[in-house]
Amino acid sequence: MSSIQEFSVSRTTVTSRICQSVLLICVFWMLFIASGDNKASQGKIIDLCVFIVLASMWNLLTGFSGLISIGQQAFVGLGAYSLIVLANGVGINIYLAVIPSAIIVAIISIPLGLVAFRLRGGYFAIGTWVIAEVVRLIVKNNQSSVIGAGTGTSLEVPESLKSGRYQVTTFIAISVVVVSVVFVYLFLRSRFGLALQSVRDNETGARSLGVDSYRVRFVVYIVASFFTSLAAATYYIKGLSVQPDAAFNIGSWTAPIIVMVVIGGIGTIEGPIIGAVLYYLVRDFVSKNEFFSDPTFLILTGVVALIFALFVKGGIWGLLLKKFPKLTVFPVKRRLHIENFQFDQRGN
Amino acid sequence: MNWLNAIIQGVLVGGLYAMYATGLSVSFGVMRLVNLAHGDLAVGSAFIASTFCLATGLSPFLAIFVVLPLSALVGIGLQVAVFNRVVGVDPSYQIVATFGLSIAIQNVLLQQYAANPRALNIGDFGNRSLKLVGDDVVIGLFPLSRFVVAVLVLVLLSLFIGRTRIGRAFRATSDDPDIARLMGVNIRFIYAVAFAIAVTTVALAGIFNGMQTQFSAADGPALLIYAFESVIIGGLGSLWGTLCGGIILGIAQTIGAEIDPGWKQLIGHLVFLIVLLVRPMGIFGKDELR
Repeated sequence: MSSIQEFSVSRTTVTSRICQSVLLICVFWMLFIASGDNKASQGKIIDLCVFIVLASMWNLLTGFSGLISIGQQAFVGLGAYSLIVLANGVGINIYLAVIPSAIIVAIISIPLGLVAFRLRGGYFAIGTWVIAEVVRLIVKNNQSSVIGAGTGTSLEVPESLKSGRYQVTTFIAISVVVVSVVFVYLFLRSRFGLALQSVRDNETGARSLGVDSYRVRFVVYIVASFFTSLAAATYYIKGLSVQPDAAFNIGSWTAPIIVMVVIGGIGTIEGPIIGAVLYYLVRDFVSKNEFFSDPTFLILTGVVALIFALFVKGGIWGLLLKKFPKLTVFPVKRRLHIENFQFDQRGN
Repeated sequence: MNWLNAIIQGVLVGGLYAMYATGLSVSFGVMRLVNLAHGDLAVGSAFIASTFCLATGLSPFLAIFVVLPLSALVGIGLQVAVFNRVVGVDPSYQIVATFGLSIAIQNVLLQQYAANPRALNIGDFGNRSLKLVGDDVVIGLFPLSRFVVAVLVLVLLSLFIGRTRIGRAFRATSDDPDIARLMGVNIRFIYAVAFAIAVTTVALAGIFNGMQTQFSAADGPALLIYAFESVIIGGLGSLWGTLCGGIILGIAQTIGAEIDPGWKQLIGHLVFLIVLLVRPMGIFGKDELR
């Protein structure tokens, strides 16, 4: 018999507390910029926050649930157009319309998911893309004045809201990114998150233990659609003009999202954040450099995604974890601590 | 509105879609690989053929005999350098790797050939047609011969898979790669042959497409989607199902275009989604896609 005097199970570690505090400082720093007048910096923060959310949601789908989507642009575009319909059409305040438009998209995602879930693995991926194309074509063929068919339309900002739009939007973007990341963190720590990861790792095994794999994945699909469109609506309060070919564009949304997550590290909460920040720093540097034309940058992103998928499967975060195994910002795993633990002779 | 004509044109286009789809079907069937760069390989081949024709002044039909062996080599090269590393691992890495490849190829083409569309000029042959039922139904001689070639390719391929030694190894690998290897099948060789076939057929389809319509660097994704829809409509694992799927998609698109030019693609996608909802295993498929 082994004698275990005391044991405890913990999740948070010292490093995770330190890292989380650093992140909190970053958030306060962004809030500080948000309250200022520098529109250029505010615009960058909005873009970054939006892409962190998009990347985290793609990662929740692909990295944690095994649902490989290349059709996230469907929810970006739907988020943008729901915002347009609610603000321009119904006349709701543009800021107050953000959450309702994400709820609308979450509801629309249910029938879309029913179709997509007929497919599996790689074919699920192409299926999500076809669905995004269908939504784009339906929007493009809609001649109503609110939607504006192929030429698109612009979000109408009332005079009273024109001043301070960047500040308010930056605040919204920061809130959306904080809520999304904290949500993913708590979600994965919950019972549901455990079921989710067990389905990804071994679906048959998870089902034999009573996990309803279809339902678990479907819930994640809807959640990801909600947050993706929430971020998209935020983005378009800044951008204002919406065209179907741009809003439903795989190259300007899903492609960078995938690259960010792969560089940062699929299947970790930290990966997408690191990837998004890195992608933004590189793109910012590249846009000032004449050597990098747009195609050159995209060729590089494609090649980098390829190389990471083939050789650096864990991404940058994975490399860091190899060097520093105790490193963690958002601890999901449990750690067992046993004091005065003694083995008996049988090694039990 | 001329429905009969629309249907016949749809059937002829469907042959082309089936040729796009063949490679997708083979690479999925043999190695469970979904290659998102499939359409970009077709566009790339058409560009290479066009460069060849401009440089030598020869006919695009001769370019086929240069581009096809080249694409077989490209296929083997890609298999060895890239795809062997993602066969059998978590499909998300497959998708990311081939998606990255797709973005890279598209933008290399964009940088090399700019955004201007190109076409492969086949001269007078492209304009000749057969007139049936008075003047109502016009069948272009080129689309007709393209359809015949597509069917021929499928016949040859199914003979290859059904009757030859390598074809038997194909089927064995598809059923169970581990047991096939135990029985002495050289899996990597089979994979390389499969991918060479996939790239060659899609290259031929890309060149045929370029002989009739203009193409540009960004066309690859649309071609991938048509190929994918043909495979799923017809049913996985059935080459003749793929032909049938391509034809159904082609008819849906031409009828859609007949109703409203903006609806061409939309009606095609909707037919695909309906098949997916009503019969997820496809029309000729035996198993569910799970």
